[in-house]
Amino acid sequence: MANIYVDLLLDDSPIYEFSASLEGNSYIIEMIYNERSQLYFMSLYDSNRNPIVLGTALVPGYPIMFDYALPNLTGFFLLIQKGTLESEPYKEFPDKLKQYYDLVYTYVEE
Amino acid sequence: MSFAIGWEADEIQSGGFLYFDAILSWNRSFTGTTTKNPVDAGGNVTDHYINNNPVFTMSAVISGTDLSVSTNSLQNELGDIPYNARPAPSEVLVGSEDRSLLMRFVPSVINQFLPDTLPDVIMDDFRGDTSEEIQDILVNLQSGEGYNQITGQFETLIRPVVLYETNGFLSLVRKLPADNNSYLVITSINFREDTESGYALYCDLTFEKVRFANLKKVQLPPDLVQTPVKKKVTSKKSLGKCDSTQKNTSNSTDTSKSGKVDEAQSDVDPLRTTG
Repeated sequence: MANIYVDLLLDDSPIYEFSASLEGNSYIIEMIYNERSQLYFMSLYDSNRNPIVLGTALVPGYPIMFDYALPNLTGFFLLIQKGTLESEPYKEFPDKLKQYYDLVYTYVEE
Repeated sequence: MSFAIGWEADEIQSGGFLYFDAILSWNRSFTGTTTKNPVDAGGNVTDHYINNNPVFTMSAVISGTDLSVSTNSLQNELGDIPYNARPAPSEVLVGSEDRSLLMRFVPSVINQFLPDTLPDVIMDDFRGDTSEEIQDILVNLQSGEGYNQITGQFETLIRPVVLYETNGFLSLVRKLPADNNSYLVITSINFREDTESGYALYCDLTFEKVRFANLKKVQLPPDLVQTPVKKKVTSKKSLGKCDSTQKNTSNSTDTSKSGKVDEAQSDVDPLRTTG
């Protein structure tokens, strides 16, 4: 049993998307910055752009989408603070996630 | 009291107005809406009031019988007479233009063999039933379409109308809407035909008094354009395909990241086997 993780992309653009292969399947991940809530929101689509989970807030240290029973996704997304920062930079610089955080998808391989 | 409905010329038809021979009902409705926000005390609190457009409904009759001769005297402010006005019929004149001296003085014994000349009959034009045309006019006022040169497609046009209220002497007493800032539009028309209606046109009309908003182009303040608004109009950026290499936390070089992944995995493990 091993913990596997896949590095995903973060960008300073207010709206961007990329594709990634997670547990052998291809997905499209879209990020939209909401100025009012000062958070990025993540949407997950399959490769044919069929929506799977839409508009999940990107917050650090929380197993994002862990509560959804998704057929081919046993893990969760995780926003990890870089280095040994003690503060919560996503509150002060909510649109600069790329500088202070890493986004990974992690799951347990049996 | 009766009403006449007027409209201005546009690309569908020329302007004009119609006189309703009878008004069976005339209702004016002024309504508003309050916001309702439920609160924990078990009631609603209201923080806004929205004024709805006034709605006027009318049941009107335009007769198919040629009776409205007096509407010819009704005029709008431009001096036009109603489309369905009928002038009083003039008398029929029968005359002959044959003025040849030969026919007058030659005795009948002889002129019976000369060719006859037909008498001229002078009378008004045929006064047919206009209810079908009036029906088309009203439908066009409600749902007329016009061709937009800019977009290159047919669009439903907004066709404002005015209502002229008249008294028993067919003089205009009031115009609706009275101000130039608001307009009346026909939002529904219902034509009724039954065993009693005969040739008359019975219609139920609903008007809504509206105010049109025009598109304005304004210069945004530079400080507003700098960051917040600029972001909102940014198009989506595609980062392409992400390097989806799977990494094992046990042999990862980035120990800080792998440690946090392990920590998160153990945190969501219901058995909490580690930590």
